[in-house]
Amino acid sequence: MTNLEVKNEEKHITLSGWFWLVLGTVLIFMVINDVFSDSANQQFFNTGFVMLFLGIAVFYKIKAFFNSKKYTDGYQDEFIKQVNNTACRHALYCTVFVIVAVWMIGSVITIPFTHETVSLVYLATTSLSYGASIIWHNRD
Amino acid sequence: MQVKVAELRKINNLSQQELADLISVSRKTISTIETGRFTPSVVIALKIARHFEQPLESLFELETSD
Repeated sequence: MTNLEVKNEEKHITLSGWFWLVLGTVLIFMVINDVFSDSANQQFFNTGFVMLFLGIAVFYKIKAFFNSKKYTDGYQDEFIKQVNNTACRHALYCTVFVIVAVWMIGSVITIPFTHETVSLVYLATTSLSYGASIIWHNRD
Repeated sequence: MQVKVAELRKINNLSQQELADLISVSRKTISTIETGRFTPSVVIALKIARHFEQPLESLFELETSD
């Protein structure tokens, strides 16, 4: 592995952390806006955003791991690989926790959440936990 | 575990980035090894030891709590 590849990975993991954290924050704001607004277009807007999110995520992953080896093997640097694996694990735990929490207390909540809003909650949880975990573990 | 990589690096007048470049790892790897937040693999530990021409035991020492 060349030094240039190592530096690229280092740069990428930092950008990746901020990207997912910012995206998660935007999604949280959307959920809050969705809960407290009563717009007829809200559902269409949210569905559109979820589709846009998936598009950005796929495009981002393809562009970031521009060659096929990198795309299949992931990070090569030992520390960065560990940070990424830990962040994926945290994202999984957080998302499962929120899914279980919604499943258990969903009927108690009086706010009428739509399916789109709940999907945004899941996406926000995944993005925030992944981004925050990367930034936390990638600190100096 | 006591890590003496930082001491050796400073004695050899190397920055974290320079040491990282010499053994082909990221600067964060060196930084987190030095602060004890990351335990490197045997391969990286041996690379560092080989670079400084020191035995591995002089770079990483087990403490009684380990």
